[in-house]
Amino acid sequence: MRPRILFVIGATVLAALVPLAQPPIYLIHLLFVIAMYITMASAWNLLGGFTGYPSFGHGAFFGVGAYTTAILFRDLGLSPFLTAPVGGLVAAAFAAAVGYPTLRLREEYFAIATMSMGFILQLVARNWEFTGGGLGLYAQPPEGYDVRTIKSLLYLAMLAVMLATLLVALWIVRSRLGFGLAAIRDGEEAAGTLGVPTVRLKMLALMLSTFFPGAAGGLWTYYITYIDAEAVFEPSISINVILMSVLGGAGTVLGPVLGATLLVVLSEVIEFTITASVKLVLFGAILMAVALYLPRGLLGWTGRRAG
Amino acid sequence: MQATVLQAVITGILVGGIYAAMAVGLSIIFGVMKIINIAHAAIALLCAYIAYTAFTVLGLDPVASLVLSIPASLLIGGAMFRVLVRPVLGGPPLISLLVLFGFANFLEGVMLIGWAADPRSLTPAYSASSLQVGPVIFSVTRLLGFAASCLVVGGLAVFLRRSFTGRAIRATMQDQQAALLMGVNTDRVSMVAFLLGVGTAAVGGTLLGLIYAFYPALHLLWIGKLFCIVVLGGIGSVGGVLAGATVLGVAESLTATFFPAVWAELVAYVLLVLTLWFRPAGLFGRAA
Repeated sequence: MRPRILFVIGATVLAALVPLAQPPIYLIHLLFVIAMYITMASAWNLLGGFTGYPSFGHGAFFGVGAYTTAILFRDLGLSPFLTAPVGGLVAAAFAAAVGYPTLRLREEYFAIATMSMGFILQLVARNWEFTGGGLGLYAQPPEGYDVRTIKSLLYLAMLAVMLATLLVALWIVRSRLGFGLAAIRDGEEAAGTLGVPTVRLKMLALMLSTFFPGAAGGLWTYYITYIDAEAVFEPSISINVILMSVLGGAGTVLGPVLGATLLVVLSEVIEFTITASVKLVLFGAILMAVALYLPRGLLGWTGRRAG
Repeated sequence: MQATVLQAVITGILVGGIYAAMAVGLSIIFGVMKIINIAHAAIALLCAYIAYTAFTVLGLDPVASLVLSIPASLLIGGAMFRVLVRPVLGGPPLISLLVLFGFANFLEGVMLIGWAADPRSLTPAYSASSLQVGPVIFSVTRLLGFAASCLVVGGLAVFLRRSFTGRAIRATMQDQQAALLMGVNTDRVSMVAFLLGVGTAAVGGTLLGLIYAFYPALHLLWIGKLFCIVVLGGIGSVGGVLAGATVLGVAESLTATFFPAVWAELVAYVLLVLTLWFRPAGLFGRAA
């Protein structure tokens, strides 16, 4: 096996062993959030980095997944381990409805259509009875388990989603799909004339890119046990995801992993020491600086490119 | 019933006029530089906040506060053009989009720190007054906003048609290479177009703030509306923007009349996706 696959699997297995050492629950929480953001940043990268079509509303797909599992729990009482993938599928369906008309046009159309999407969905979720309106929704974990066991189990599930995302990314860079996507990024018209089915590949990348954040959102619902529109459609989730991917290296497989780890830790430090609103100013500034002066990110800078 | 519809249509036209002041800049910037200024609505919103502070602290009328917010927007726009926009022109769209998205979030953070997340509104003495003409009620703020907006959009249209610089801008929109060969300083034209764009956004943002309450994350909703207008009207024409803004304003107003008001906010998004799906060149645009 290639070293990157070994590294990814090995690191995931090590991370999965952490709960056995009975660490403080905060550490499990931190690792859960890191795994969640690695999932989302890597998934964003499948379309934004590999193909050059940035989604400015990836947080929306996370929110759709979170609401899907919350509703399935409320109405059918289904377990999160079953419904998280359903959350992913529903998120991908939403993405298809927005992506089908916009992905065949210039990048800007897709970017803006996704930018407003989270805001609109937040508005709907807050005002619609079906989604619990302003009261939000609850998802109670099964009774008879203590908090540590449940958080640890959900953490393992999140690691599984993260591993799946990374393996898909590793597969894509060496596959026909990956070469097609890279060709689209480097020159869409040329790729089209050479017979690359550009729209179909972009749609496929979009589905993959939104499925995993949806599944992550589904697990988040159970992890946090209560969701509302303000929390899961929080607009800053989208810039977090993008900055993680771009800072680490958009278009590389391990860049988003590095970026997500760095920025989750930085966020925690900022929220403990200063205040959350400073984060938006800081992250906005870092995104501008990285896009202007380090467009290939920390890992891309070493000269390695996708594929 | 008929009076209700008439009222909704007229309200929609007035609000649409204000939308046009914001959207026309987005359209011109795209026409000249082929970039979408994703931070457009954030700049407009910042100017509404400047009007808010000018009103609460100095007691300045929101419309009069444009003498502060327009220069402020031009300063921001000028710095933005030099530092963020010019270096990425002609590069991959991914980079310019990321830079401007970063700037939009930066401004949102600035507004959060400066004015907090709870909604604010501009409440001059006339904000609750209205005029009745037959069965129709005209709110004074909407009329004022519409009139100011018409001045701005009309002035811009005349400027683009008659002045030398305006013609240079239109020439650059049509064909940048050819304009360059004809001796147009396209770099300077880009700068002027960008400043015109953010200046008109300042006017539109302040006027819209006179009608609706606003909070920092609202720029995410506004940019979708502006983009919807530009797409509806076909990118790059002032007339198209006016038509698109009117369509959106009326559609929203009718929705708000017959359904809970919150659904009106979805209208722009649905119109945007449907237009891109079926007529990407716009309702009034020529085929791209």
